[in-house]
Amino acid sequence: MRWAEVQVQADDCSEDAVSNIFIEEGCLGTVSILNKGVRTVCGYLPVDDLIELRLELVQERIRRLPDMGLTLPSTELKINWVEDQDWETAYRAFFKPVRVGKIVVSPSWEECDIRDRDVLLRIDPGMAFGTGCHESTRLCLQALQDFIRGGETVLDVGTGSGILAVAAAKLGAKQVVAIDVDPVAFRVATENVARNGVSGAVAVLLGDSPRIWSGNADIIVCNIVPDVIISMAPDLAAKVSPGGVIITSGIVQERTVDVTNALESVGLLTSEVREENTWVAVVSRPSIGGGSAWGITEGFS
Amino acid sequence: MAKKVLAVVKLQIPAGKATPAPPIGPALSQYQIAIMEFVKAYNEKTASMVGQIIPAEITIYEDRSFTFVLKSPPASELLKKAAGIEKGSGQPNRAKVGKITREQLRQVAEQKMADLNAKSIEAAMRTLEGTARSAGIEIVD
Repeated sequence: MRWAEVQVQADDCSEDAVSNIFIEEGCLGTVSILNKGVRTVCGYLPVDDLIELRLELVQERIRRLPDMGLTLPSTELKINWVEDQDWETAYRAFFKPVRVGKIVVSPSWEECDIRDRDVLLRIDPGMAFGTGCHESTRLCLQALQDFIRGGETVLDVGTGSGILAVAAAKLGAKQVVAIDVDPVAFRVATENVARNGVSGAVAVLLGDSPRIWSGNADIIVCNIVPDVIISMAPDLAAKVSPGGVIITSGIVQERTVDVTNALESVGLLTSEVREENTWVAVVSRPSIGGGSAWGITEGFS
Repeated sequence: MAKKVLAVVKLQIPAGKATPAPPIGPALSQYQIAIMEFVKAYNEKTASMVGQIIPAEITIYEDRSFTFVLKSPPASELLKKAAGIEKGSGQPNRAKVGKITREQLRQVAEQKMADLNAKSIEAAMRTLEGTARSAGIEIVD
């Protein structure tokens, strides 16, 4: 089937009127995208014997909107002709296996070339962050393989798809605790943990703070955003074991100092700042061999 | 996830009836996201609202994962419901197909104020009056 893709520029006030016209004249719904301050509403009409008539009707109704007191940047329809495609699976072409050191992240439908000591993670992209395609995730995957020797306890804060928790378990961590505040991420992470056969080592928890788990971790990984990392800094410091390491990621270059300042203010030392493109991961350690410095500071105050 | 956002796409689609056909397929496949994941989740969340247009605002992240929230029905739907009609008029200048009172207009305005970015209830009512008129709905005192 062929489709006429009709587009018109609108604003917050005229958007619903435009959508309504598109839907009443035969579109099965509309899409609205705001790009550089301009909102474009788009609909699709099936191309049949009546298409010319329908397009005229839509154009006529849109042209009249300013008379009703609604504002549009332009009342002229833009029309593109679109052929039916396999939209359901088109996105799969984008997701190819990604290698980070010895870790290979691959969607389930891809065959991949695995070498002897490679660690394969099967992750299908979906409704939770962490497909392996983002720099912030890759920085964490590399750091995990640098620090996991085998037998550690790992805490993954803001687990998203569970990709880092699965990686930690497959790299040899003895126990992994993965926490996320989002119920969708909780579900997706639980599924990915099971799909990768590491349910025995990974516990996925739903909650808004690392403190919902009572233990301490040798390695903490936290790939979220600067503001959340900053507000969670005391919790991260409290949860890391003596001699442990904290990997924070999801940091844009210009916010690096804000994050290291926050981590240092709770007694953590910045031992490394790693970069990939414009993204940064910070590796921190407790400043004193015996336990979290935050706890000690609290004790003195 | 402020800096990881690639795009925000708003869909106005019939509750419980999402499919990979247009508009969803072409709109989302350009961002390379798993369309069926959205379709299934949307239909599940809107199963009890079949018969209404329920907008979904989808946030797409740079790694092509995504999340979405449902929004209140579009103003045109609320106005048609208030007027007790299914479909607006194709020729709103000539053929009026329904009426609502100013009080009903105010109620819809209160519901939609945030979405319209309106500074006052009066400004929201003026916009909605235009939306109503564009569907052939008269406002009566």
